[in-house]
Amino acid sequence: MVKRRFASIDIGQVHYWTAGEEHRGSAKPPLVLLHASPFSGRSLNALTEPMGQSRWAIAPDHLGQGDSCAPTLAEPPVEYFSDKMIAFFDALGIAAADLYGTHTGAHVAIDIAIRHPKRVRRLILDGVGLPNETLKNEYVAHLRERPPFDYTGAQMMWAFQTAQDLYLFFPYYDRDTVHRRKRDMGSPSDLHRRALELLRNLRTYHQAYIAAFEANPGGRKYPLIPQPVLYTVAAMDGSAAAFDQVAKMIANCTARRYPEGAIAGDYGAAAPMFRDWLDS
Amino acid sequence: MTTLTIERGFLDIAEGQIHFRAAGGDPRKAKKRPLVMFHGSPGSSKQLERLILAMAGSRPVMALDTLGMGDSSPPAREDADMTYFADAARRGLDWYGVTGQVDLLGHHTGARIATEFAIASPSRVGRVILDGMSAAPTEQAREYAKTLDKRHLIDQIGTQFFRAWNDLKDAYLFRPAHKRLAANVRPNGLPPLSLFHDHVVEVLKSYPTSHTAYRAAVLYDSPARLPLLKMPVLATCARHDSPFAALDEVARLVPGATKLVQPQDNAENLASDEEIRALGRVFGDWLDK
Repeated sequence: MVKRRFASIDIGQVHYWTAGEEHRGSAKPPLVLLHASPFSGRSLNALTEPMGQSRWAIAPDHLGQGDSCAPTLAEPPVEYFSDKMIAFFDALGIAAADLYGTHTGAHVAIDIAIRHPKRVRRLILDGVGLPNETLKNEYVAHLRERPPFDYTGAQMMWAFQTAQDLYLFFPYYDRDTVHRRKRDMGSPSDLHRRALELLRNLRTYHQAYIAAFEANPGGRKYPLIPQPVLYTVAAMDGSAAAFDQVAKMIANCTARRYPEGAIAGDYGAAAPMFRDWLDS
Repeated sequence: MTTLTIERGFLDIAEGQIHFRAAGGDPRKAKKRPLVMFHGSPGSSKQLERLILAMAGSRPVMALDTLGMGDSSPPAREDADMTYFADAARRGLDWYGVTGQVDLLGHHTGARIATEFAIASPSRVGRVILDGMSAAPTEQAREYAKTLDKRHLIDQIGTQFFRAWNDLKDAYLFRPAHKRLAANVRPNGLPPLSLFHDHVVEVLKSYPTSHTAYRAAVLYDSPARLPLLKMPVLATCARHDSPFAALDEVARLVPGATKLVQPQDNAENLASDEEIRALGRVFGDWLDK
């Protein structure tokens, strides 16, 4: 079972999802899993749970997302998120951890690995590629638009439609034929939870998202990662196109795509690959 | 003066986790009896935040989300009654190490949980505040209980988001909520937007699983249970709160109860910050008697 906890840092509480607490203090370093925007560590439960069978697995919510406290800056850079993550490590007594990061989480993980190298043993990067400058600028501009918040309940419609459109389009705000995605709509309970996570964080959900977009211009941080890296991507992930190119930019890189047929978020298929590499 | 802040946490029990909000220091190390609060339905301890802060200046306060509501796990059984929810709370406090005497404050559904906690573990409870306890369930209440399971409204087109917003709005504006007539108008508007929004969010969090505790509360046989309380009890209600008409009977049913009509007209989100602070002082003074 994945449990929920809070840890206190200087600016408030970080909420995290965890499995394998019985392995706390064991010889294996804990695994810290960092999620994609704009939701929460809940999105990694299907990975946190199997990884917790053999190690302490911890999936914190980014500040301003899920149930973690909000950042204290209006436009915090990625360094802010990674430094607060180190404060979270300190709060839990974690000297060094293995890191898994997907999308936003991968950009925070890269920054932690480069700027706090002693706190990271190994790094799994999932679903990051090379940024398209035009798309990035457009996406960030869109994220800066404030969602509605009024007595008509417009925010209810905004949150639910956004949760839906993340399934239907890429980017989710371009709802034309060109940007249509071919995939199943989320289940009722999944859409319910995702819309609620947006509604809880109407004023802050975008902050880690924007920081991630601005975190690694031109992919110039990839060559600076000092730790061994497992670089992976699912077949339908938007970043898959640059897979071979990015793999060459990372110094100490093991590049493995998700198993055949697995899509992003299919952690049942990916977990054994991650576990084997961490234990190798 | 130290600024009080609310911290959140989880208590582990066999069927999952109980989420809580707390302020005023560690209840395991307190010199004074900690105060444990239970919220009304549907909602969570989020709706008690202002009262927690109003009372945490003089004692540690913990407000638990009822199983199936807020961020707590669902109850283990669909037919669970109030004794189950009280037992779950006690098991959660045991796990956390709050094993000494506590005071209890329950609002509406929470008043039933506080009552059952106090009946089952009288030696663990100092004083009890029952805020908005009802009398015996009426036929109307039995009909209402049949409408509380809203799981079927959670769908791929977001029906529940529109429904939750409007149901809560109607609950503030009409009594009963579904009778939208001049004769049923409540004498108030809506709470401040942020409180109203947060309340809808907590209701939606609870949508899949809140009906079990809510139904058990609506059907609660208070005339049979209230006479079993053995400790000092404050029976209280705000004038415009829905169970106000039952206050006299509730006070009569509890042996030796003190009755208090609250100084402000409205309960919960409709009371102003100053009114909530004043209410916290009144409650705190009674607990310290």
